[in-house]
Amino acid sequence: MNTKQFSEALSNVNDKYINEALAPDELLQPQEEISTNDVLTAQAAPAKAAQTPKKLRTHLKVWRAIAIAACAILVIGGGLAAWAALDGASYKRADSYRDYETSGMPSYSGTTPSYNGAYDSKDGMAYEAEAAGEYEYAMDEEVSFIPNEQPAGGKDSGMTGNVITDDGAVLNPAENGLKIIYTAYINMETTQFDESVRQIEELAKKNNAYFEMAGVSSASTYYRSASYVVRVPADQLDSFLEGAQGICTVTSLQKYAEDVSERYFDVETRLETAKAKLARLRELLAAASDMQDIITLENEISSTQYQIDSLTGTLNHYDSQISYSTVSIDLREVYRVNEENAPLTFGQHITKAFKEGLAGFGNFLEGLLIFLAGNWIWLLILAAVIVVVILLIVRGRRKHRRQK
Amino acid sequence: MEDNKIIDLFFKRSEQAISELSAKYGKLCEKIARNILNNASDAEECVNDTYLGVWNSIPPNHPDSLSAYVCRIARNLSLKRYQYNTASKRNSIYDTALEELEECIASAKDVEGEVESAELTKTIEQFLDTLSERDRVIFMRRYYFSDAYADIALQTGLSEKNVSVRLTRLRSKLRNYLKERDYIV
Repeated sequence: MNTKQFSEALSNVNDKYINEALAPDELLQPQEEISTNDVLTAQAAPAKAAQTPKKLRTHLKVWRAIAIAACAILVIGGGLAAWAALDGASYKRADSYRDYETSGMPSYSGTTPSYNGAYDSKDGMAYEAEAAGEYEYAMDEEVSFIPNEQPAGGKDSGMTGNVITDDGAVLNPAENGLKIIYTAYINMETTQFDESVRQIEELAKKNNAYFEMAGVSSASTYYRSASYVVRVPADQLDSFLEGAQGICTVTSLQKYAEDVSERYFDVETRLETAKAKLARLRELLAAASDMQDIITLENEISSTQYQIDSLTGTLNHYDSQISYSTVSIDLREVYRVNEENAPLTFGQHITKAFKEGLAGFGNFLEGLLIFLAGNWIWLLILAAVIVVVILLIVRGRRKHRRQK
Repeated sequence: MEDNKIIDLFFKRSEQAISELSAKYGKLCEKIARNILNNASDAEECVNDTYLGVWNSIPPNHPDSLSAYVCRIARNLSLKRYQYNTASKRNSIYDTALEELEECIASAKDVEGEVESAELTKTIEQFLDTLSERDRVIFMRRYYFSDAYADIALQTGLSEKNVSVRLTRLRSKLRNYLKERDYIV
């Protein structure tokens, strides 16, 4: 078969195929008067077929819109992801961690136990718990409740680890034989970052504290920040916290006390028992003569020894936690510290809210400017992509119009 | 004017039939002829021959669809003309001689060939039935009316590229269809 044969055979196809192909043809309406003639409109089939291209065009439009939307999402998402990746990378690069090792200080790598405020009221700690709870509540209410101008030497509130009894006498828990682990979290703001960092280090030295972790991050486009985990001797915790408040503006301070007395004494008792057991086993071993007995005793001794080691480790860990309180400090550089607030009237509240809104907007603009300055290359690329997409759309539309 | 009325005019041997036919289908015929021949004067001649062909064949024929009938005549005349043109362009005396001979042989029609051709037509029709309406229109516009891609694109609302891609798929489909039925190996 050749093309000629095929073409001839195609010539003779049924009328309906020809008419179908003809149906939407504008050639059928060569002249005005004929196009308005009822000749063609009388034919139902052409009218139906004539609608097809219109429908197709609508489909085309919808698909084009979807494609453009997908492109836009892709571009924006990609840009954001790239920005985030870049930002994260630069942040990491800018981070300069300094590790401090204090001479002669024990260094514990054990993880800090979580203090979820699990206070044990059985051991006379109810007051402590209450004090801490109250304090937290106060923090929620007003972020800037910072007893900056707390009268020196005045009565300690829940800020300190000391228990104030009903008659006002201050009890040191250590004297009562209570085993309490203190943990504190401080958020601070400063306008003079370097000075504050230096002062914190000085303060730590003065209080015989050591840094478990110290990190200063200074991403190029943002304010710097530092975070520390300081281990302060428990008896100097209060003076340390007070000193910290003197350095810069503390925006939040939380202090937790965890009573581990029960667990501590439990471990201690078990340790003593194990030690007694070991001594007894040694005596038995000395007296034993049967080989089988000796082997059994040796096994028992080694497992007891292991038990003793483990319990001693636990006790040591508790001791370190108790004797050295953990203070986590977050220091942020700002150019304007939060002002202190006395209780406000309604009008003052409104004024404050208004001012804060304005300041917030200012902060946003500032952040935006910094962001634009920091990511201008990416924004340039994004703009180029958008321009190309718009040009493509415009060209496509112009073509479409020309076809019409 | 309605097709039936034009056919009636032909049956009445009224010359108005030709002018009505020309008014309604003149452009269509011209387009078909021009697509095949790519030559204005040849196309014009073919269109006139088409009118004559219609005049000569109606009556006795009474086509159900005048448009298809006219198209078919115009196409066949254009193809014949095209073959004649290409044969003479080859400038071979042998080709021209064959052409002359063919005219005389064609009258004594080859029965076998005609049956084959009719079968092929049927196969093509079956193939067309397997297609969607849009594909059918595209196929017919391209291979029956020899329309350019751009024209088909305009008519169907697709892009030229899309039309081209669709036609490629249609061709491979046709190829498989014909292969299955042993028309090609």
